[in-house]
Amino acid sequence: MRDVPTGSLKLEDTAFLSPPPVGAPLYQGAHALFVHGFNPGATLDLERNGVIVLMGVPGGFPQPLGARLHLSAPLVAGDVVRARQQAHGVTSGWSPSVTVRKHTQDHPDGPPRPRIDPVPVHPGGSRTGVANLLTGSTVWLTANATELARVQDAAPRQGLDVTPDHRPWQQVRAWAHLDGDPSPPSPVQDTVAAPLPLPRPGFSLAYEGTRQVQVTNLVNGARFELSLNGAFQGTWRTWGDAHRVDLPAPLAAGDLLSAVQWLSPGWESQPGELQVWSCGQLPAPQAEPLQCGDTSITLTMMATGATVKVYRNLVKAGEGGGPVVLLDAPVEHGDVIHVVQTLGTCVSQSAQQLTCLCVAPHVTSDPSGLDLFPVGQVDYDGGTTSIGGQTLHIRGTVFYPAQDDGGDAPFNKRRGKRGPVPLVFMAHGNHAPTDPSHLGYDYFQQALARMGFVAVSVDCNELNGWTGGPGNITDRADLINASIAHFQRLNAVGQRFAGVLDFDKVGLMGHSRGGEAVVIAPSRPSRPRAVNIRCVLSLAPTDWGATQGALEGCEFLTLLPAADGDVFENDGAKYYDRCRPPKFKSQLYVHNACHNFFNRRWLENDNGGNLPTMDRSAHERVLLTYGCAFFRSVLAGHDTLGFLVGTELPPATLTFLVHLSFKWSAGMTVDDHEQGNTIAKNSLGRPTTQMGLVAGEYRFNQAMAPQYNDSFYGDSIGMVAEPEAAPGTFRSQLEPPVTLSGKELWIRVADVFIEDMPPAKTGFQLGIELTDGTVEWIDSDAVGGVPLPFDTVFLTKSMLSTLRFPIRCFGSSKILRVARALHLKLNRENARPLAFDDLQVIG
Amino acid sequence: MATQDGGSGPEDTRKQRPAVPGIRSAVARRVRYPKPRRFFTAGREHTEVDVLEVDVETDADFPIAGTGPALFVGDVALIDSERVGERRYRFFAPASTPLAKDASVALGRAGSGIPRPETPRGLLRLEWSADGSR
Repeated sequence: MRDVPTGSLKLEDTAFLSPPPVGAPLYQGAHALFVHGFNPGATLDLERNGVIVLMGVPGGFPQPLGARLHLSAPLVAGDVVRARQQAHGVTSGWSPSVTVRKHTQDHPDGPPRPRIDPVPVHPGGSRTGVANLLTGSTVWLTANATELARVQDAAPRQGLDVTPDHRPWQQVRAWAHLDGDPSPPSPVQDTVAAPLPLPRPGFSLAYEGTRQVQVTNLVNGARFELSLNGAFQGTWRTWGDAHRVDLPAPLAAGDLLSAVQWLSPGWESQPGELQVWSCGQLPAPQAEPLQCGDTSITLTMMATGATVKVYRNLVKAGEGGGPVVLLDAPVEHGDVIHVVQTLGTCVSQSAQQLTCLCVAPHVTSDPSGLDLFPVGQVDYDGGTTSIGGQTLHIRGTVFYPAQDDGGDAPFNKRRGKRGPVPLVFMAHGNHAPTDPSHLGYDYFQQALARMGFVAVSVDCNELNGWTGGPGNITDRADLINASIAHFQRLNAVGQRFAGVLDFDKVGLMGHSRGGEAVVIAPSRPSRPRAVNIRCVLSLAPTDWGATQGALEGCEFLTLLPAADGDVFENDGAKYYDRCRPPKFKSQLYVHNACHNFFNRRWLENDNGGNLPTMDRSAHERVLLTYGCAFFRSVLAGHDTLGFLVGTELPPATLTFLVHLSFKWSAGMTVDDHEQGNTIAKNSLGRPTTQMGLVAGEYRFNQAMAPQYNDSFYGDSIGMVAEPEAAPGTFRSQLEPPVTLSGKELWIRVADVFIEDMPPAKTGFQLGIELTDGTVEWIDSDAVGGVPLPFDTVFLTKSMLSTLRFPIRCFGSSKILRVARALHLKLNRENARPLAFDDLQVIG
Repeated sequence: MATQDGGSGPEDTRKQRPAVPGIRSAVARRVRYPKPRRFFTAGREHTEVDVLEVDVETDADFPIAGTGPALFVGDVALIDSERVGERRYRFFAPASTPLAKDASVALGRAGSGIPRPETPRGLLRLEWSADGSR
């Protein structure tokens, strides 16, 4: 990606105008919907079930909310709607259709609970934002049980003007319903006085020609007053942060914008000002990286009020108001994309130039953000049990979907009536026994409970301290199983949890010694009968030697902190390699992550700050997003596995530090080197050949020969290919030939660490040899690249991660690709030994 | 006149793996337990009544962490341990464990990978308590 002068490009403007997408999902009962991405000032048409029901509706500005289109009759399940826009005499095509559903199809327990956002709410506040709404809901706010505001036909995130303004000592809640079905109430927000004086408002840069400005640095609930060249423009209420204001006329260069804000009359802030910039200063907009096959671009930065134009190979292929602009056709490998923005007659002086990458997954939804239920929390005490000759308490804390937030709240009636819920049992690791380590995962428990799981954190503190040995691990496993048995009893004869727990869907999460314990808990004799442990998340697990053989019968995820200052050897890599799951296993090797920061009660950075370390919240975010994706997929059947495969990215997570391995049990394995049939044959028993490199099979572990070197910490056999003078290739034969169209080739790879950190990344090419003998190649850099090892100074590892090569990367999908061999080519000038494992055909 | 640089580059301020405590003494004895004690070999659990105990005094305490102390008696690593007092640890092994007489002792870390000695070897040798049977 780079910016190029717009004037140097011969851009060809066509009459193409992007269809404006209709906000989805849409549910029965909504009286309104939202249309996005149209040109500022465009008019909109809406088609419902093939009939145009709205025509020429002024859209205004597409950001921040889109245009709210009111319907004469509420939506009905099965309705099909789509929209188009007209701007500067051009009519777009119709947007992709959205089919209306009943909200209970996606939310069988009723609409999700609204969330007041942002918080805190301040006394004097005049407007409050509410998020997590279904489009078209009715939403209202109460303060101390008195209604303050109500909005019908709400957007997914909706502001409400409150009357009277918020006061001190109020408890504010949001409520919603759709199609007569009420949501649970939002969490209570107590009003909290804002620090005074209020800050000076700011502005996003405004450019000549715009008719919309964005005021920033606003306080939640404040009123702000905007002036232009000293002339009063109006007073607005805001929920804070940033607020867009539509203007009656375009701004001119040099115009002076000014704003002040207040929560209480007489306590105005100092004014913030901005002088409008000239057309010549309008920069290129910025877009997310493109993945080949994308049918839209997403802007990450654009001028307020601008129109964005997208050119494919210099011919216009998209135009709209962002942040998403639909294109006239999917982006193909080799296309050159230019993106400019316009304000009136002004065109940005530069254009962003992009080409698509074969694999550039997009940020999508937040797998930890499913917020459906209030959360109850209670400590449990199941008495004592004898484990390993010790008398231990069966106790801990449990978070669960409840009627309302708080301790001792009843289980959510509606959820309970629908059927039993899955459970996740968590086990902490070793720490000072005086620290309640089991309380350290409350953020993870709460997130799981909000989405309908019962999340139990087992108190293993009686096993903490200076005791070492495998017995300490088996004791932890038995104590986890004792807690499972206790909840079985509560499900059978208890009060709160009677009949609402699903022991056919149980997951385990363990950290450190707890991470080793959860690997063995499913196979311990102490495991209660009639419990189906379907999945195990092993976070930074130790290896005290308590495991024996492979974990079987459970889907598996291990999270390995690369900057772990305690469990230095990332022993979970061995568990990953050994695991034989029913469907899949997954490994996250997380650079800049330490051992302790996943537990809120473990305060010190175990690597002593000697290694680059993310902050604590970033650690929690990794565990939350990937952990929730894992448990939701396995225990609730949600479509969240893409986060572990790597086809989508969670938001607000340092995903560039997370290196994924993923293996489907059912994939066609071309070579995993485990057959003992030498490097000369692959796992299919077909011959391999090497030219210009030296490849051999080695044990990727610390324990057994033959090892390539001592930088491998897993437990598999793989291949290391050393380059010779010329680019070298390794050929692995497929016989009979394999049809690859529509499939992906996956391979695990690592840049083998040898003594010193390499200065720059290396890579390789993967080739498919078709039946006519031609070989097509894709570079590893086009699919995410081979990561550099994480430099730990004293224990830098060669840790493999999985690269996915979709066959579409090799060119037009219209060609049927039947391969008779796969190739690996070490083609870099800085080629270094690369480790490979698990070459698979997926799909 | 001698210079101080000696051709060395700037020091890498990122420290090596934190050091394990030093070892001051290691005293073994053979004990017969009234109740069998658990041991694990290659993940398999078994019990023993005849047990070797090795009491070790260190110059500092191990941190309480996921990993923990390992005692090397010669090439044999003992990882079953508990703290019996300030800077005092007791290691356990089945009585059949072949501990060489006068073997050198060292400390390392268990719980992550294969334990390796991390304190100097050869400075201290295993002693046997007077009431030991060997």
